[in-house]
Amino acid sequence: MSNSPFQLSSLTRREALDRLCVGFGGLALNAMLFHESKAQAGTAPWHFPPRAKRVIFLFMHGGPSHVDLFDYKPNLEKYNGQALPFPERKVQFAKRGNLMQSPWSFRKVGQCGHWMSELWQHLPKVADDICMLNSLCETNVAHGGACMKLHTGNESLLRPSLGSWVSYGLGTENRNLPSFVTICPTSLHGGVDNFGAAFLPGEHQGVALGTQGYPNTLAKNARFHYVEENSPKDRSVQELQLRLLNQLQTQKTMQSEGKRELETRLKSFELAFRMQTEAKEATDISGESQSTRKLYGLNEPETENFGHQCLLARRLAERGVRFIQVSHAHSLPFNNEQWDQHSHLEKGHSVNVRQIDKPITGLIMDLKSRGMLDDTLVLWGGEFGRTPSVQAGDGPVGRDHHPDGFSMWMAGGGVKGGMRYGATDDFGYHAVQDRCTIHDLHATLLHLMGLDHERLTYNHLGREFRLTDVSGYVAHKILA
Amino acid sequence: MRLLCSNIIVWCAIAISHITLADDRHWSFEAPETPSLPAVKDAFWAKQPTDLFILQRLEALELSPSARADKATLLRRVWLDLLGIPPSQQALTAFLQDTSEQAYLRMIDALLASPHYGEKWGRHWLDVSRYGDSNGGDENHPYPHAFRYRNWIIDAFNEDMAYDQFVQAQLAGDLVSWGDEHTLAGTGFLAIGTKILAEQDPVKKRADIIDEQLDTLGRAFMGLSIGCARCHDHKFDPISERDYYALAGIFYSTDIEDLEVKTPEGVLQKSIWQRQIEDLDQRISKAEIQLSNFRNIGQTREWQAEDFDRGNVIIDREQYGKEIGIIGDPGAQDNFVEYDLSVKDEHISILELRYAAKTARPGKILLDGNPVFENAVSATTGGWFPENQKWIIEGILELKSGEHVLRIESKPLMSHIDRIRLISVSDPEEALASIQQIKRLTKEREALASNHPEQPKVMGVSDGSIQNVRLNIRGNPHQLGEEIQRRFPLEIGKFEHPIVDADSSGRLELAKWISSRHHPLTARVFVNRVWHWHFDSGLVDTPDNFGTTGQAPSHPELLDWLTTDFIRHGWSIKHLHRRILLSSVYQLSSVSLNQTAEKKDPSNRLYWKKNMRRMDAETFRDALLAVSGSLNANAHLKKPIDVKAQDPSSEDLDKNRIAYESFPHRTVYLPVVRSHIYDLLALLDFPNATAPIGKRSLTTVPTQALMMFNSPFVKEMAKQTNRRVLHSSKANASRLDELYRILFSRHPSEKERTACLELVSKTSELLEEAQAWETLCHVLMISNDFIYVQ
Repeated sequence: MSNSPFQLSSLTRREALDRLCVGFGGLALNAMLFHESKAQAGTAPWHFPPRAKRVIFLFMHGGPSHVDLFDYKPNLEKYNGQALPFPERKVQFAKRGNLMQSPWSFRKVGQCGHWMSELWQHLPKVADDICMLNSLCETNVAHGGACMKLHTGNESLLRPSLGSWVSYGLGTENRNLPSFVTICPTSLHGGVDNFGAAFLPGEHQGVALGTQGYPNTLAKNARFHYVEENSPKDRSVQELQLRLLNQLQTQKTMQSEGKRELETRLKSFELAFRMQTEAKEATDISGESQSTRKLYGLNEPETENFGHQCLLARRLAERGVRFIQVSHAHSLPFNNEQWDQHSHLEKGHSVNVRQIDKPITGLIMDLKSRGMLDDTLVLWGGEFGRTPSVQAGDGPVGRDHHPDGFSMWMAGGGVKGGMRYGATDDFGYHAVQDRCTIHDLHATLLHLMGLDHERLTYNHLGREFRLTDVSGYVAHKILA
Repeated sequence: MRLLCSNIIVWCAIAISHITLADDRHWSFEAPETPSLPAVKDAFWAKQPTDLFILQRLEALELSPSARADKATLLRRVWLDLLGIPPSQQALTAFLQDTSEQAYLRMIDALLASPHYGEKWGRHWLDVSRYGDSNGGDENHPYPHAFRYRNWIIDAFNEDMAYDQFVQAQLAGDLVSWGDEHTLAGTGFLAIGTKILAEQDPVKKRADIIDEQLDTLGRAFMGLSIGCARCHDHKFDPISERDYYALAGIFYSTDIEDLEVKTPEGVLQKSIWQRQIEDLDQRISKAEIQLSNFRNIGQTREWQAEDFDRGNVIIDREQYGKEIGIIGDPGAQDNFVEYDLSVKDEHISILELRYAAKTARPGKILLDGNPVFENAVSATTGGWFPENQKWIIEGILELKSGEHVLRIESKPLMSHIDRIRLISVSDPEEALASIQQIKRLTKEREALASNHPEQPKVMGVSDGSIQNVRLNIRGNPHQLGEEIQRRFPLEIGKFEHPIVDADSSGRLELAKWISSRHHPLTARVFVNRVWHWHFDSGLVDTPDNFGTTGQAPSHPELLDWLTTDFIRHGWSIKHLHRRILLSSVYQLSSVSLNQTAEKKDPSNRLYWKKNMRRMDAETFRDALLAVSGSLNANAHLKKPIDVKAQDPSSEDLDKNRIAYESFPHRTVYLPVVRSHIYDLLALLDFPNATAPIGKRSLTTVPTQALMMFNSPFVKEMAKQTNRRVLHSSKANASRLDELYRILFSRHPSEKERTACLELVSKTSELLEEAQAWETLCHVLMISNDFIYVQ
């Protein structure tokens, strides 16, 4: 046993100070550099060249039905009303009935021929930019566990969220804005933990634009917390206050490293002061042109809210925010969660697609025309899919939660547009080809960002933690 | 033969223990012994034996400790450290005036006796026991009784409960022989953790909850990460997968429950209530017997409610009507059901319905279109399910010969009706009198039953069905291996382990094992925690990890000396505080003028000065309340204020914020809503209450600064402080003196005075004078001088 205090292995106070933030994520970058320098001296924070510099995650809360949207199964028509020919999973959320065909017809779209149901009126325009993932597979059948798995890689324990890992790994491109912003998040099913930093340093936590709530905040009311609408007079007063804080500090004759801690705090005040201006500008869409507004559907009541969210996402992406989540997470009159159509499948999914179809298509087209789609990864998906069978019960029909095989898609940032990856069985039940778990999805996403999910680690309570725990395979086939 | 035996023994030893501890046992797994005191050159410097260990190391490196802090600094330091609030003006004056040698000692004794001590130090322990008032994770249901555990912790610190008993109560407060009715509350420790309540797989859910209990108790009491051994032998510490499931069996034999606290008054109240209920029951059954005298049982007509002739209700045979079949409603409609009755001879009958209703869902009963019972189907039976079904008398019907239609109606939502019967009666008048009596008494009983005398409850544990568990292969609770006897980890604390009795869970034995004076970790881990909370750096600076991946102690002999001294003094926490607070090292100045020391030990691992430290979240909030004169210093032992934990809307969150901001008591009494920690606290690194936290993180981010600038609460506190200051004097200079005394327990320097007054004069050009002063109060209250304690 060593008796010398100078041979202690973990963080000293000084090293801990290095993890204090000056700006959002700024020092995390340094920390990464420091970590990396041990392995490969003098390399960039990336483990390999990044294909995407930022992520826009379009989160569909409640569980969109893959067999009604993107995963065409003729067998559901053929065997409509008949029993599934193999046993159901053991742990179920609700009781299921027989197979049910989709109320919508499917057609092939784009040059690539992606299958999309007729619900999609706009998305086919960008079909060739989309890399369809038909083989997501997970285990948890409840919203809470499944949402936490999707957002944090763990379905029950508090872990850092995907966005916070990305922020920790890469920091931000704009020190006056947070590196991870979540637009209009829901307070359900993990709530703030789904964009939290858990044990990662606090600056990597997702900052909510619009208070998390259920139902979530409307985009037009979305503000950053504590960023006030200051009058010029308020600003002058704050400037004087800031000056005094600095004056009081210079009174001290300190030589210790405690001085650094105090200076860091003073710097954080200066940054906050600047951020008030920058954040306000970033979220103010009044300068956007009529054609842009139309592109996102801001002129139509049904698409106005989600279109506004998507437009905010693009504005933040332009300003160097590293990870942006957009949540489609309102409630419907007949289902508690946006995409959770246990009943009223037809009505619910029609409304839901109408709300997002044009805005998402607009977002992809807009990113493309601005030359940003190449290094912006767009990810679309929910916490699970829905059963190919009908949910037992009265009233207008719906489908139950289904994690065993479901669909998501990616676009831009280094993925092959027009490609279809993986497949479910003939009934859309199990993912059978190129199965992709959430760990695999996370590993792939980090890879696209230039990060190796096995090397992006953080030591907490004596253990090196990863987003992907002890699992995760990169889906190399989808990389452009 | 002999050779064979020893071979087997060797093989077993390898098989059982992944980590073998033959020669180089990790320091923390060996029981501490009292080391002899080291010799030092400057023995006069030492005020406590502990100082000798510190000084010895400093002298060895030719370093000298910094000077003693001045009295005002020391006062502010100790108040914030022990009570979590800044010193009052009177305390400052009194302490500065008391020039006797005993002044400091007297102050320490007074503070340790203050009820605010438990509020501050209980909160430290609540970090370790991951205290929360909701389940967190996926759905966040409130834990309505968790706060009694919090209150118990505060009391335990104030009463200086011996730490070994403190440990025992939290693991087995329901079983310890020395306990009283309050000790049960301690078991909240095992109950209040996060749980995924919506987990659809009950086997996994149980396994996850037990894993959380094991991991928490391991880290909290022993600084060991037991949870690592759920799926495989611990990679770094000597805890095997078998050890894990041996402990898990103890918790599979334990149930988490809301338990009534049996106070004498409560027990008496309940027995009176019970007697009244029994009395009513007797009177009801008497009236029923009377009624039965008039019943012509032979002429009973009885049928299934679901055999209706017309109706729009649903028939349920799966859930509420499982195995019996009931009628209920699909919701959102006016319900009706009709039965055609054919009556041969005119007669009078009692109409009875058999139904289940947890809450009253009254309807109407009509005969041939005429209402006969206006407030029908209005009884409650204790639940919605088949086992709650009861026959309820509706009243008396006159039935003429011929065809009739009996109709039951209800607004949306209907009781679950199973059967209907008509019993003809011989003496209608007498029967009616009995029926009315029964109805009156039943109503009386219902009212009394719903007025159940509320017994205080705690969220705790009790022994359940006693069992060993089978090893979960690779941690999968559905893949079972061999059965493991309940016992304690073989390689930890190798003194005589208590034997787990076959008829008990083993929790009491576990509590005794962990709190044994021979256990190498328990006392050491706690002593180190206390040291850490006083100095902001632990002798072992990984206070939750004493395993092989944790840090080695900077002063191992000091840690062992303090530990054995702590046990010798009856595990008294207040004794431990005195040892530390009365030492020279605690009283050092935090101002560093020592270049050599800065160079040789920049991180101050040798304690040559006192570390300056930032107020924690609750100290900051409490300090703002205190300096502004807004603090209600009384304990708030009642149920925590109501904030919405589950699925809050943004309006709910606004309401929650207002509830938090207008709460005048100390922060420890605010509810800890997991996933929605009050943002002022969360921004200042308040823990998220999911795992034991012995050392909080310390982040400095612009969102904190934005909060400091713009929070309505902080601004309001500045306004209130300003009122105090403006009131004190008309002269700027003495106002500023007053403000500095309130905030910093000192006078401003000349430079500070100039800078502050300049701010006032400049802002006065923009704002009213009172507001200008408010601006100054605000900025000083968020300044480093306020938030950093020297």
